[in-house]
Amino acid sequence: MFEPTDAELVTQILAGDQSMYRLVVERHQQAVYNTAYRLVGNPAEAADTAQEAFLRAYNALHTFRLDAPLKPWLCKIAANLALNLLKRRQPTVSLNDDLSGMVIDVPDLSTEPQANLLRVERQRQLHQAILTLPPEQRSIIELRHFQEQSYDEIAQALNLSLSNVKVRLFRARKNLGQILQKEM
Amino acid sequence: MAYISTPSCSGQEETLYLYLDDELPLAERSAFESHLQHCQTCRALLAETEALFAEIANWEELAPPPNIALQVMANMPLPVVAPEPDRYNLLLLAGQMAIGLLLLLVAIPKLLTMYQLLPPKWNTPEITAFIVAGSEQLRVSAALQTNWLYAQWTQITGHIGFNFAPGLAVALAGGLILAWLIGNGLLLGRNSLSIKGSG
Repeated sequence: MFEPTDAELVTQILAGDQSMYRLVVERHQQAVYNTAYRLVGNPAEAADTAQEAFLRAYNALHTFRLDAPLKPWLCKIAANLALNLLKRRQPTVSLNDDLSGMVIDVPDLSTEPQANLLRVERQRQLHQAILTLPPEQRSIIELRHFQEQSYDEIAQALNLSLSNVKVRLFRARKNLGQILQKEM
Repeated sequence: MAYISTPSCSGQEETLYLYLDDELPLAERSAFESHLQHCQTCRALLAETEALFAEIANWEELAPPPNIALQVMANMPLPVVAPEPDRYNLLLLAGQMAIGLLLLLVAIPKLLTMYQLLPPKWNTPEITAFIVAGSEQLRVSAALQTNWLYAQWTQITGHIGFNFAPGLAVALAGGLILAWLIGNGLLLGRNSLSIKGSG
């Protein structure tokens, strides 16, 4: 079955066929939802953020460059919305805060078949570790490892100096490595 | 995979991250790669860090809730319908174009008399004669129109006791500018109402 490319879909939507946007949402909702989830750490808020991201993207579709990939553009919008939500939710968390009591909404993967238990367990540990990070560290891990943004782009997105980006990323990775080590 | 905690060279851990992120300047990158060849501790740390990065990249995406597409489509803004051309606007535009053409006809004699500024190869006797003849025709026509306008102007100003010859040109220019402004102002006003109505 012929599947239109993202550029073709966007062209048709801009020409007036609003119904084609459903295909865009269905195609990229998983990536957008996971971007939001890794940042906000809550499935319900992640779903709301993903919906808002798609609506904002629709209104800004005329600014999208057709020769660029659509998924990173959508994920960037979702990341920005999630970061704004994190800023509104709480002030900067101290890096020395005790996180042991933090409640993490990690989906239950234990219903997977036996053969996948090891992989599933590793994924649970990874999800737990990333979501345990303080929001400012989670943000920088998301932008660097999942959005693949450069240090300059991260500095602009988070309104930090370049040296602060390096320091914060360094600490986030050390923290993540230590959390994962404890999980093993 | 277990993460082995190893002692690292002083100050190299941050450099290691910059190296893996491809953010090291070329000279420093070469120096660090040379260091790696001789330092087992940093090589072990490099392997450990690469494993961590690979683990992060292994994040398996979770399935989103099933109703995201439905919610998005339900909350989409209504499509904007382009307003149909307004006959009144078209008439205004046509009127302004007609005034513009009339002005051109009056101005052409002035423009054509500038043939003397054309390059020498264009200044042949035949072209000159053609331009002179055409220019003369237009000049006569423009003179008739101008004389008629001036006669009307003189009559009007004579009745109101105002006799200022250059005032004709000023009044014409002023009136045309005013007509253009009012015409476009009305066009803009009607268009902004159409946009508000379809929002």
